[in-house]
Amino acid sequence: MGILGIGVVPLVITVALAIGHYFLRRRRSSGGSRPRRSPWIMRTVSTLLVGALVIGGTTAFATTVGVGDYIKAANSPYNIGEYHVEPAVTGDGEKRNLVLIYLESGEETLANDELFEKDAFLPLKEATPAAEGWQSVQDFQQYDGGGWTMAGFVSTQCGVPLKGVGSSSSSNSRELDDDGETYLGGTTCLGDVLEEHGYQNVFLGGANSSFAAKDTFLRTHGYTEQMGLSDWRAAGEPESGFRSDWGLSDERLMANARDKIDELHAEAEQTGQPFNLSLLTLDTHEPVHVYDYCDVDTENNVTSVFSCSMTEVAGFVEYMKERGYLEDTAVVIMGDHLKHMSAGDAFHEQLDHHGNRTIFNRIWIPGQGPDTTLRHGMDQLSMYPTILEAAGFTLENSEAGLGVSAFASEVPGDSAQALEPEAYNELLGSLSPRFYGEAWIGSRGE
Amino acid sequence: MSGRILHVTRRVGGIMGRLLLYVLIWAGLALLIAAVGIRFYWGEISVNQMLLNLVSVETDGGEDPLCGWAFWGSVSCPWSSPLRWP
Repeated sequence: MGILGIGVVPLVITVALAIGHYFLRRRRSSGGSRPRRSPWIMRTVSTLLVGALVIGGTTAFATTVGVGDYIKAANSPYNIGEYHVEPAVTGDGEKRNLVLIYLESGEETLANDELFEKDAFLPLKEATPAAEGWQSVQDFQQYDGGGWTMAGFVSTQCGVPLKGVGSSSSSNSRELDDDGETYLGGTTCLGDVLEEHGYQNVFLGGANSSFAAKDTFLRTHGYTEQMGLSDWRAAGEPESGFRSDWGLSDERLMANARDKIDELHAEAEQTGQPFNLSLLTLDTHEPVHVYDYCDVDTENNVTSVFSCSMTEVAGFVEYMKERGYLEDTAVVIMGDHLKHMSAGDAFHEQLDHHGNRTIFNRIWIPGQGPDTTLRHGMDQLSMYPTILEAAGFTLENSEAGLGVSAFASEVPGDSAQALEPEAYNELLGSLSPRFYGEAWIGSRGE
Repeated sequence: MSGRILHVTRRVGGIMGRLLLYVLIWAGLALLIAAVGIRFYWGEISVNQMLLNLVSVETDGGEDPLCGWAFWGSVSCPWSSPLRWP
């Protein structure tokens, strides 16, 4: 459809105009009809129309993709490399298994039953009560530019905003990682740290693994096993478990996740080597698809689909609880980003002018009581050190990437997190060509 | 002789001018449709997001398939390796 829209339609219209113009000229030159108006008036009007089309099209495109911000970012005096901290693990004596669950578009705002027909997160909230020791970062923010899945992955697992080297001023930027075999290979991310400490990293997602190079990112950063759409099809998952535009339903994903955690936990008990099981849901990506296991009891079916997806995730949490896995396994549940708000998406009335849209999150650490306080208002970049500390690692200054762990009571003075909000946003927006040039080069430690 | 050169120059200039006109119409339409499509399907995005997604040509099981919508996507994407466009 996209290729039809952009590649074909303008071409067809243009060719039709050219042919129409050609025949009109021929008719006139053969004396078939005389122009009723002066040719100069026609030419002026045509020129103005073409000018309006070019200026209008360019302006619309430039504002849609934020070309102005991009130019501003290119001239920023800030450089992410000056604030980036390689995670220095000072202790792993308490390292434990980790389950990391990304909720597609898991925005906490949708838990407000005064704004929406019901609290879509209620099933998951009930499975993760604070009274049992589940914690959460209040006002967990999406960084400016972190509104899509890969940006959510990179920010929460590598502690940096996702940018390409296409922005690099380096003349040979296209030579960097041109083979597409690695993804931010020069950066140390969560999977790298875990792999270095003996973890087995496994990823399960319902969607196509290769989309947006997610598989390359995971493979580059220590994930040795990953399952996606093609794997589920090959495994003989029933057709009713798929939505044609995306992939495997959350119900079937969580069913497979139960089997996988049984296997991983048993292996970990045998070998003594911990695991990291990462999951990514998809039911809640718009346009939503109502699977047969989801009873729509709201006027807007998006709310019901969110609730059904959370019920599936809650079921997985309950399963871990029943099997005793929560006694030696840390769990981090979070939205991958805020809900998308494209023109065709739901809830513009509730969300377009909302002053504080936040990302849902829950953290479980075995043996930790409900009295722990996590730092409020942090963004996705600080989730990287937070996850490492939840997995039982201790980090120098509790820092990794640009983030500072939510468990740290104080932010180091030289950290990016200590910057004033305006400066911090400018830092995250800066293209930082040298930093990203090196990050995309390919392999860590070079 | 100079009359002939002038005639040829005028003719070539006319053809080039008309060609430029149609290229501008095509570019304007393509940019406008791309902008409307991106806004409808993804809302406002960033240049980085666009560049990082230009290679995403799959239509099944993925997210943010901007490739097809991007102005030059239909030309460049099918031959691009993953991550050619960071």
